[in-house]
Amino acid sequence: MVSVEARAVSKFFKTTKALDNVSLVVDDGSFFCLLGPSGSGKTTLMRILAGLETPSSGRVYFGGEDVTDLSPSQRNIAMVFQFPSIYPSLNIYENIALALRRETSDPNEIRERVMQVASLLKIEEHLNKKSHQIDFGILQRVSIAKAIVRKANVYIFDEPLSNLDTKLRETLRSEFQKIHSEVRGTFLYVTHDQLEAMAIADKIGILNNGKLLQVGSPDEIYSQPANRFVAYFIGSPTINLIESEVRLVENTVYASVGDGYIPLNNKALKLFQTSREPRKIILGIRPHEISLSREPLHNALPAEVSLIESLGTAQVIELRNGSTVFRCYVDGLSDFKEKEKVYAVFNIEAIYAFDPKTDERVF
Amino acid sequence: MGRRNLRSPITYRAFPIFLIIPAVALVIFLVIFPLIWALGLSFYSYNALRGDSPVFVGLDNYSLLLNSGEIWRRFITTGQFVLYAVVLEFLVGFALAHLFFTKFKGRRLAITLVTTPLLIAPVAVGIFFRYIYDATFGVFTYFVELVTGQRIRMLSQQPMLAVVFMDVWQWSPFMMLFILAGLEAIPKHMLESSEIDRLSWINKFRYVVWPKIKPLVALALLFRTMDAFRTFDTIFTLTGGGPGTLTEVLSITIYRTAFQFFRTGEATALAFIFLVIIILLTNLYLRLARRE
Ligand SMILES: Nc1ncnc2c1ncn2[C@@H]1O[C@H](COP(=O)(O)OP(=O)(O)O)[C@@H](O)[C@H]1O
Ligand SMILES: [Mg+2]
Repeated sequence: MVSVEARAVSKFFKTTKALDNVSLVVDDGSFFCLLGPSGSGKTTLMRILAGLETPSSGRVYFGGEDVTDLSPSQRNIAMVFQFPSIYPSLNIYENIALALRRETSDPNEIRERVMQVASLLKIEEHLNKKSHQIDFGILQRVSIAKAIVRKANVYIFDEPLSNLDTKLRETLRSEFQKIHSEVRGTFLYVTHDQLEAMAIADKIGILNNGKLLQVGSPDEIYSQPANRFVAYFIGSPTINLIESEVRLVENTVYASVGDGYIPLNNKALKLFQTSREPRKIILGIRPHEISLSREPLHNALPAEVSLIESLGTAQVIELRNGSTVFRCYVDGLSDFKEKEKVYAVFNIEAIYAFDPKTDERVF
Repeated sequence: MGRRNLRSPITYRAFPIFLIIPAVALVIFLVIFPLIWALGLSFYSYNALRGDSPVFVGLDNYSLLLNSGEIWRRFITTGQFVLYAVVLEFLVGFALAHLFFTKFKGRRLAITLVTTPLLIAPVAVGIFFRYIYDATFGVFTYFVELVTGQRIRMLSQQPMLAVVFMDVWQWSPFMMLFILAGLEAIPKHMLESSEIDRLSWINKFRYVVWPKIKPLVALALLFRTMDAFRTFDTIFTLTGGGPGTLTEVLSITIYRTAFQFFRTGEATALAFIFLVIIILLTNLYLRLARRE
């Protein structure tokens, strides 16, 4: 296992810019998750790291060594594609064993290693079957087994679970960390599902429109999003992004929400205390950080309930103040009614502000 | 009006029949009827030139043919031709298909050029190759002399190879198209995954390429074997079956028996033996192909 580095990698397909100056370091033996909406360039980046595609510019390093001009097999990559790639004329056992041919010819070792991954992925009972005899979910497990049975420099998984049904996906997702700790390799894992990424990764990289927007631990990505897109993409229900104006009134910074105002904390004060002019920002606050009350608490924002969405054990309540709509997340089942007048209390320590022009986070 | 008529049950059922009558009639008059007529004729001694009335001889024509060493030698000649030609066509077609599977500039144009021999009339091909093999100014002769230093007279020294090469020239592109179609049908991710799995090229071929091209190769081999077996016009124009009988394949024998010696009954009997062999071959291949 080695560390993986992309240095200023760009990739054009004719005129489409699939990757835009991406630089990335993935530590030796870590579990890195590349997260982004579909079409953002995730597959392209992985294919470049694997050596299936050459970058238009930029270099790729494995363990500090330039591997840009090496083929996938020279780089010693194991990879799982979005679709299972099983050799149809061989049974499952032989498929997994075939991947070991280059590493060992000792039949006992082959047998032992195949059985080990088969039990890790719970496919022992299928080992003697051929690919057309088993269903898609199992086949994808086989693809994973085929990859992790090897001692590769880097293991790449390109949305391995995205074609599976939800239930299967959740089971496999929870197994992935176990797989990582058993294999002890450098894992690069691609997904467009933020829950998947948050659940299994050491580090997450967020890709959008070919640009790597932020790299960090799941916690960092969630609590300190670098910009508006990251904040929007991570977290469920989605963060509220409210067009707002901040102004300084008697040594406190207030931000407008609809027709009302909420106070901001000291971080905001430091930033805005020099400017007398009101300034436009995008206010971000996660639905979990807003609580509701029927009493007109201090600094609470009056609002009207416009929609209640039940999640079973919780509710997402949509509120309206003037023309601004935002949502809040309430644990348990509340007895708020639609059209009811309530007061929303924003956790002011959990408020972000984004620059409306650059989308970068200001605080 | 017409629509209502169509809906009435009788017309509704009769209409399709009505539509295929011309085609069926054509087949019956031009294929089935002559076939049965010929089958009948093969039990008679008959000379179409003399026009005597046919004399019924039962299976005499067949036993005569099957007991004649001459005919068996023709079978061997035909078998050699088919074997050499089809194997070479497979190899050349296979190589060409792999060449054209890699994407390069001008690939489409090159494929078109390579497949043009398929479009040339067989008689023209025969005549071309007479010039190509010509002992004094033939292109082939020239290049062979360039390489080996020897002036070879293909048509008299290596007549079998001469007809085989001609067939290979014309029909390798056919093999190529089939194999290329098979190669194109291999999912890209399977090829990539075999690269990722670090398979040796032989395993890559065995487990990724071959399973995809096998049915198409079988089909192409079937077509080519049947077609090579009944090759007539190219060989007839190039060598006329000669020198002597060295390139006289069965179809030429049938032609000669029927139209040079005018032993019509015998010729039809031979044609029927020929037909049976082709049908057997077809079945054999189809069975092979279906077993996969
Ligand atoms: N082989 C290709 N030819 C042309 N365009 C491509 C090719 N591969 C990817 N693209 C384009 O590059 C962009 C990124 O694609 P991709 O890396 O597959 O995204 P993702 O995996 O995040 O869904 C898309 O706009 C896609 O259309
Ligand atoms: Mg993708």
